[in-house]
Amino acid sequence: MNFFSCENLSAGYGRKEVLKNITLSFEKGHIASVIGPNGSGKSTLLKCMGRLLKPSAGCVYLDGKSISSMTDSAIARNVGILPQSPNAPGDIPVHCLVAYGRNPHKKVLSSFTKDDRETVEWAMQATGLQDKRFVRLGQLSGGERQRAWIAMALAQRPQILLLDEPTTYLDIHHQFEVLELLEKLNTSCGLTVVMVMHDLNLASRFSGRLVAMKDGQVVLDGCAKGVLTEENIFDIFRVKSRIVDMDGSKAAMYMGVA
Amino acid sequence: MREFSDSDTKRRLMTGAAGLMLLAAGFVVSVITGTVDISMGDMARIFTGVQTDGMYHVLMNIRLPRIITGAFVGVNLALSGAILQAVLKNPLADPGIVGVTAGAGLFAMAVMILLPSFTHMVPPAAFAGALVTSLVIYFLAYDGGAHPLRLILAGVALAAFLGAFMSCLTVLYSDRVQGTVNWMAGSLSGKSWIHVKMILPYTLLGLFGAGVGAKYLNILMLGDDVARGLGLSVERIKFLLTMLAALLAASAVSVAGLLGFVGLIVPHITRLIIGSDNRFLIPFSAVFGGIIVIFADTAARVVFAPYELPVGVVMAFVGAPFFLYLLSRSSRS
Repeated sequence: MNFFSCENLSAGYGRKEVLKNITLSFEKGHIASVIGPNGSGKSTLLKCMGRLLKPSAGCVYLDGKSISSMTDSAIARNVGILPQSPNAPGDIPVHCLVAYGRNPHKKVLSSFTKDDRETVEWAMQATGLQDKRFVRLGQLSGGERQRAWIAMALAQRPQILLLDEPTTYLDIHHQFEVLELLEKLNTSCGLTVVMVMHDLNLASRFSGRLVAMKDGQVVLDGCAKGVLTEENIFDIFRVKSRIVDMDGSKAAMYMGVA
Repeated sequence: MREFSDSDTKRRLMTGAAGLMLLAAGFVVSVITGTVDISMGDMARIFTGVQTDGMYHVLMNIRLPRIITGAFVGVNLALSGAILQAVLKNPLADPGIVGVTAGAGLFAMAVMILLPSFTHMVPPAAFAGALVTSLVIYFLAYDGGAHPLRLILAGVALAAFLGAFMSCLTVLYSDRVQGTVNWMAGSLSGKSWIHVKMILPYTLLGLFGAGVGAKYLNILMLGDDVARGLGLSVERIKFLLTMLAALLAASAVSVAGLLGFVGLIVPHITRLIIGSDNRFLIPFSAVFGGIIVIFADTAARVVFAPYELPVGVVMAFVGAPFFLYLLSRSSRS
């Protein structure tokens, strides 16, 4: 059954159409990555799925229900979304940022309950930030900061987490730290993850499914092994490459555009 | 689990205690200084109802309402500025940006110059002018959402437009301009209990609204996308908070005239002291706003006594250099 899907989705900015008639369905409890060149519509797709952008046509469905019929907070209780490199005042302590994640569960005048506190505590534990609770955002390393944002989204208690390039600006160590965290959350809590990724090798290493986009359309969709081939990489990115096999997992070596 | 780290809590408690002490000190200093000297003893006797002579009249009907009006004006302007700085994500935003100053200025000036026999209509006219202008700016800037930069640009453009009308009025009716000078500079001279009653409801509404809205301001500061992701109805909340800010500033300028800099500087100083968490920034800004206007107005009354300066002039004397200092600091970092 369709868990999280979109049908005939089109969207754009002003008169420029960026997404063209996309129909996709994501299964529960899986990690999927959306790949593609700059301007192919990856981020726009993610924004539409997370209702940050209103599609010009088509619908997004959550458990078979159109999200345009749901309230902002009802969606936020099910779908967490982090834009690319989010920004916050540097003097917020980690636990305050994480506590903002409880917002969709709160009414205008309701106070912070024991339950909220426990959820915030759990989110900080799950992201390994329990010792950093009073540290200010500006004093965290890039990887820790990204984990703090993920903790905030986790405090929403979503079924689905949408992430736009969660590893941008991070060094290799922190990239793996963030992706291994997502993998852990996926296996331990059954969190569904859909993320936009630039690094094809990391995308295929951490996600069971790759959705490749080009010019606002889905051109390839399947398991990492099937999508990551020399022909496909050339078709999508216009880059020559060699796929090497290392202990059963594939990795792309890029050779150049000429 | 502790909610905040000890150092944060300590700093907030210290700042709160200092703020309340300054407020009390400002109140006492402002009560006893002026053209008529009132001693601390007189003050105590008057408040306990023992003394009821001419000094009683000076204190209860001239000084006290003026001080209270000033404090509320300060509270409202500071709240307004704190809200706008968070909604527009711009630390240099102030009530002038949403057109309050230009709108109130033009409407009040028009009444004072064109309808001099209706000067009692100046406060409601200024109030209406401020609100209408801020609504116009909001809708001019609205394009699928109220983008901060569009709001600021629309505000600047409309302020220039209304400013042209004001210049016309001053040129065409140069003989009547004299009477508007005090109001345009912001003055608390001659404020009575009527003015306290005029502004009090807005102060209460503002404290309540901004207090409730503080947690949403915090979330808005994470950016529109994150805020929407957290289930906030971003456009609705932005509109409500912007209009609350306009209402607060409008109520302040309609009573005291165009008092600049409080809305810009007070939230800014407060942020330097206690940080950007709006749940604390909002109430502390309110207290500091009251303190600064009380002290500035006391200075305005006594520095050149028997002449009295408009409190806005004192604010600008102190405020403008401070603003430049902030500007040079933020451009360096």
